[in-house]
Amino acid sequence: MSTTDRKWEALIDNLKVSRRDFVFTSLAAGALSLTPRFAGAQTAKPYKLGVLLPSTGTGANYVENAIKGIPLAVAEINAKGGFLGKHPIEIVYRDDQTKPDVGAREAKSIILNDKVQTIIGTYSSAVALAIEEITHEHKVLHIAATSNSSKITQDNYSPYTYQFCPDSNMQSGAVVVAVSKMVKKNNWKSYVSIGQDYEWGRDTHKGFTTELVKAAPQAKEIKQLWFKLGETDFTSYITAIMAAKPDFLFGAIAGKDSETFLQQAGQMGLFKRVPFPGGLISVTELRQLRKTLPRGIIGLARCPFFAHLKEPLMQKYIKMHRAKFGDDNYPDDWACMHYDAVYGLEQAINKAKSIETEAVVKALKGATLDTCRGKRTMRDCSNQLDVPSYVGEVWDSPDYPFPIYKPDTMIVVEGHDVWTPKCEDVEKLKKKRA
Amino acid sequence: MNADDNRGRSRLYAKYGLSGPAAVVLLFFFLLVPLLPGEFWTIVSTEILILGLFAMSFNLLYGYMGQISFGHAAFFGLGAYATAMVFTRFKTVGGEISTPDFLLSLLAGPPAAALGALIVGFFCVRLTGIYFAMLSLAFGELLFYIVFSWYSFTKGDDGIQGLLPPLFFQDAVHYYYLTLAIVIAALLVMWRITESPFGYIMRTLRDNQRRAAFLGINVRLHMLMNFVIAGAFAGLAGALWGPFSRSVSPGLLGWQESGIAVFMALIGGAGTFVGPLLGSVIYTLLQAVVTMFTTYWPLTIGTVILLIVLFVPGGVLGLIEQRIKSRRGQAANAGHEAASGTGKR
Repeated sequence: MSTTDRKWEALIDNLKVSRRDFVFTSLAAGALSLTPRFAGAQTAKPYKLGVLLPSTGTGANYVENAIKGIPLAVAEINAKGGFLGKHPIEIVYRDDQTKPDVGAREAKSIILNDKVQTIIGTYSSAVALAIEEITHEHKVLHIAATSNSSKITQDNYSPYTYQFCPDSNMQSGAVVVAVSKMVKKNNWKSYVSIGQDYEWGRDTHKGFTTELVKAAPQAKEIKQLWFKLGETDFTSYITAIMAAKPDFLFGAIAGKDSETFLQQAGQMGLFKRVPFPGGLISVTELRQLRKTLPRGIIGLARCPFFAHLKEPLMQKYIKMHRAKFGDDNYPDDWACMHYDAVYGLEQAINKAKSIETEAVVKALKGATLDTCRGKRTMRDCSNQLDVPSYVGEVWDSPDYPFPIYKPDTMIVVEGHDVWTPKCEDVEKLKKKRA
Repeated sequence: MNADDNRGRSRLYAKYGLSGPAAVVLLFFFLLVPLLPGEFWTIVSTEILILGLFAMSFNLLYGYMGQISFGHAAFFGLGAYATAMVFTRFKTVGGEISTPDFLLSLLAGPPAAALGALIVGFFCVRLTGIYFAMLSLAFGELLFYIVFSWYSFTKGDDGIQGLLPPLFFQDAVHYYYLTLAIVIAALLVMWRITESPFGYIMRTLRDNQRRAAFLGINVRLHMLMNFVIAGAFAGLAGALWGPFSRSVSPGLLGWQESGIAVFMALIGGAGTFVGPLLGSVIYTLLQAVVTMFTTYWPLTIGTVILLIVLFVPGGVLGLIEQRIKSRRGQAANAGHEAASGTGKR
């Protein structure tokens, strides 16, 4: 083991005990000192990789593993000498606090001061949209690995922005596909909808019902329930759902409200009586709520490791992640998507044979990348990676200390089956940039 | 100490209080900022000026009228959104905006914020102290949620992007000088207001409302006027923010943004005219530097506020003022003690 490796080990060991933010700053400082293992390889200009993710604010819980995971992927590439074997990667990490104006400010700061060539991030779509303005203006590559508003790649399209997670249209489309399959399979006839009473909730509900009428007309909506944002007591809604005795429940609930609803509905035994497909249940929830998460509920995931166990890259991530962060610590959706972003960037650089941003951006256009989700291609008109969404039943697996989706219930909906709208309409949506 | 050297400064001090020399020093540095290497410090200084104007508008309520508002960012955000919406409307199909249209869109901010302040203020000025603070917070959050939820009008929680100013003002230095000119003009107007009879009525309201009422002053009307003026200046700051940041989002109206103005006023010295601007210099610079090294920004600023509140309750300018007064008091061997926070502005 070389001295460098030991230094690295020491840094990674720190990860386990210290707070993630400390880690990242020390890693950012330490990444450059990780000289390539090949003594003979000549080191050229380092590659500055900006990472904007929240370590405070609402998104912090989700991206914790991504924040810890990116340095691992970077260390692995740096062990080979960095990008193209000669450009060691230096991480510049900033906390975007899940606030758009902070994200925009930090993006400016790391572009102008640290001269980052790529920014990977972020959790909140609003923050991603604010950052996109800055990266576009400064011609810096922007990889949105988890924020998934379709606006990022459609209305606000920028040739410098690439999306590595299924966008909001693809996710809600996947729920419709999965639910209509379940409707047919289980011969469901009625459902109740519950949603957050504001534009997003109403929109999601409308999108779902209009699509479902086409896909599975036999399912009839028998009741609509709307609650105000930030509702803390769902009792009356839950009893109303139970009283209506629907075959399934559709929910347009996001964020904190979703957590509250799941908890209270679980306690009242709603999910034992009424199936509830479509709520976001990523590996993060599966691990953290392993005791309380009601079994049998139907969740939606973005990049669950157990769906791609045969993929060599996924096997590598799992091994790498568990080796560093403990056996129990499987990479969650958010970590996986960020690993894909880092290795996707590496592949684009290899293809371009250059670290120059314009060349890399060109190489990513329409590129087919090796990811933990298999070979995936960039959609030409919107730079959206063709990645699936996953719907499945929460189930106790004998193989893991936490529940996963039951394999025979899991429906993997391919991105290109549900990405909307059509390319010609995406072109119409795109706002011209000055 | 050489008396001759100090005569000029002293005269400035005698006429304008500590704000005079402080403003001169700040102006000197602000004019020279673009000479610093790299765009970054110019951008940080633009932020200092915009947030400084916001904090000073807040101080019209806090320092001068004696009421603390936790919802002042609502007017900052209203100004930002009004400008953003007009800006978007003015943009050509190609996504560009002409310079006159851009400047016109900036003008949309203050009236929109003033209108919001008129409505909110109508209710708030009926109360004082903690009730005023709570009601302002409630209205602030109400406006935040309206902007956050009204997708068809405000674009909801995504915010509005694409606020790229015309080519000339895309240059950080040009935008900086534009901001500097507008902020200086705004501060001159604000200074005029605070030194007018109206400004002295505000001080009276701060010190003794009941007495002011006995003197025949229409307390509510004057408070409302001040509330609207403060809102309009916050709106002007907000108007400058959108094109500076290239986007606006509902968080600009939220209580955390209001907190920034409170922090700045406390750090710089709420008892002085220029104090909040100095607070903005300290707060914004500290943030720009601290976030380069650590993600513990909230902890850092929390500690700073704690220390200020515990040890320097008058803020940085308040402390300096106290020192000067106590030194003069000793020098003249006069009996007057330094009174904190109520001196010349």
